[in-house]
Amino acid sequence: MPPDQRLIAVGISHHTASVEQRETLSISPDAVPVLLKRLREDGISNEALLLSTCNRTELYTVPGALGTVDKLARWLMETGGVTERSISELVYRKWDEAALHHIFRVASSLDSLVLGEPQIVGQLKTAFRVAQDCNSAGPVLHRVMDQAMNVSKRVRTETEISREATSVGRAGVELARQVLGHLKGRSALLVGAGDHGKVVLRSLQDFGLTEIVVANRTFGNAAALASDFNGSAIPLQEVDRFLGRVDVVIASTNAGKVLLNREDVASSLSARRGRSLVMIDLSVPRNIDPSVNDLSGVYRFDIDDLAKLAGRGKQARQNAAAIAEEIVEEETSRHWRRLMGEQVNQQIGGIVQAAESVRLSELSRARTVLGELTEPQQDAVDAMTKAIVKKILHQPLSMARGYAEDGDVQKAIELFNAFNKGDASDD
Amino acid sequence: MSTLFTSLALFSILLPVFGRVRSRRLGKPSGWTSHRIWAPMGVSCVLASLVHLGWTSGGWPVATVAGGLQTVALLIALAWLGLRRRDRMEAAGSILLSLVAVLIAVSMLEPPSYADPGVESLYVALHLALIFLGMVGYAVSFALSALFLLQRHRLKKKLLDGIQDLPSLETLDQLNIRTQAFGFVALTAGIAMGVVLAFEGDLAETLTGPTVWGTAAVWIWYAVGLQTRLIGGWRGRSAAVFGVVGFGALGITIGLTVALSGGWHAA
Repeated sequence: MPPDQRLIAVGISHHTASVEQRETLSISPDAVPVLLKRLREDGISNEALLLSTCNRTELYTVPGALGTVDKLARWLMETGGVTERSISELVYRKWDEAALHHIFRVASSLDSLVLGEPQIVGQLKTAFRVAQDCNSAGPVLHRVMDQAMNVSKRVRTETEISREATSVGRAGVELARQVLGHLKGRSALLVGAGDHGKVVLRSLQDFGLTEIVVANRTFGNAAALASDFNGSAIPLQEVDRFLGRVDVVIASTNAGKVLLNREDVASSLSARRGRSLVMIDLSVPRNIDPSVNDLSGVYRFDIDDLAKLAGRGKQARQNAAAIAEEIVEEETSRHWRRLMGEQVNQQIGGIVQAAESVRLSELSRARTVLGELTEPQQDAVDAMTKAIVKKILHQPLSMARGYAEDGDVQKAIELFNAFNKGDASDD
Repeated sequence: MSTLFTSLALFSILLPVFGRVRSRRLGKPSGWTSHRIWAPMGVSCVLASLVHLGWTSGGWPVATVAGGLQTVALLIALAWLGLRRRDRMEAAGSILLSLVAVLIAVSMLEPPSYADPGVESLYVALHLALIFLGMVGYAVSFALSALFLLQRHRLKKKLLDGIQDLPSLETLDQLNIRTQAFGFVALTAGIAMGVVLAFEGDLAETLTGPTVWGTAAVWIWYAVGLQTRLIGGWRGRSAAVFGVVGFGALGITIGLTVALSGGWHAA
């Protein structure tokens, strides 16, 4: 392990890369265990965790003998089959305290697209569980992830950062629920196959939406999309027939014109017998006539309404983020010291053990010269050698502990290295 | 003594209402002005006042106008304590507790009266209690209807800030129709019992007072509302408007009773 790279974080995120660029480095959940195993086998990582979401692909690792920041960044690029230099420059590289700081920021949702969004905690937990299942999470990553979850909890408890944080998908769910109450047993009609439409529909499904009907200009595409959602497909011409049945209509096409006009919706109302209809128009130009909102029991929302809801409390969250950043700074400094202190203690343990083994071997060599000793004589020699080793080690080990307590782990490591060199030269 | 209890009750009911308005304005939690602390105290004070009223009037406290109003106030407060166990019903509390405060305040204006000898009967007390239960159902329906109209307005006009503070339209509509149905059943039973008591007790002249006409009008209004809901599928806004207007009519009936009568059926 390089002396100054004990913990590394490399990756790309929405801060550095566009959706298309992020897509190239996206890693499917099935591939993660294989990649983690390969990292260990190639000696690049001793411990590793891969986090791949729609907003980021990141590798957190305790590097192995062959692992360096640049090598790990290259590995990540090769994993995505990326050779372009332009994308390689988008990969950020952080190590040691900066890497820990980054992981804490990610866990606290300070690095998220929507500040304070809660999904990242679950995504991080899942990534860690996968790493554990693959035996890729050792003591350092265990400690780091435990601390990251604690920091995340502290940030969410002590600041208002999570207040009203929501995504576009959740905003759609929220609006539908404000009208319809629970979504269990409800049905939805998706017109078109736009990305936002799919995101909103997926969120509605997560909240219990039961029946899904997909309509598209190309019936084959509708059928393919419907199978993704366990729904049914209809031709675009039959949409009117379903307006009287469904509870939510989502329009997300690039048709560039109104597909559902006021008359279509008004004529479906008698079949609804007063049941409310939520219409979410995510297309620009709009696919649902805005005047349908004037009809009794019809509630029409567009992408601006969803964005408004998703961005609600943004200023308050930004204010909270400033406080959260301070918390993360403080926790990073504290936990990095503790983490390094633990490593120093481990090293001290190793040195004490090595010294003890030297003492025992020297003692056994001396006994061949000294001949048979009485029990009190043996005890006296034993105590004397122990005292010599203890006294010799006391000063450097106290200094190492002092360095670790002051946060100057590097000096402690240098001291250990000098010690080991001295030990080796004796041999 | 009764005035002391009702004053304390009024204070306990109004404080959380003002506390909520203040907390919303400042964007802070209600803290010590929370209705969680004060509403049970208000209920206890109204109960104590009713016991005292019953003691001094020598009959069922519901038989006097003041006692009747306080009983309705007590029942509305209890209904609110039950309703607030549901999510996001704090705003309904502001409306219902304001109503409770109005009823208590009006009862305090009413001069002390004594129960008529006829209303010492348990059946008469039951008749009044059923009518009052009907009123409570309509009061809760009114609060839910008002919230429905407010939430609908926000959603239609895209005033999305704070929509999460109120229950969903579907929840409000479902609860509204249930409380209207409850009020209707109780009111119908109370009216039927009153008619039987009037004929059996040779008190047919009481059936011509403003209370009876007002109550009959309210009954017809809600009967039409429930009928159109069941047959015509009226939901949402229509049902909410029915709830608000119906309760307005009920308020006028109570107002007329208090203004024109010395008792529930005294002309």
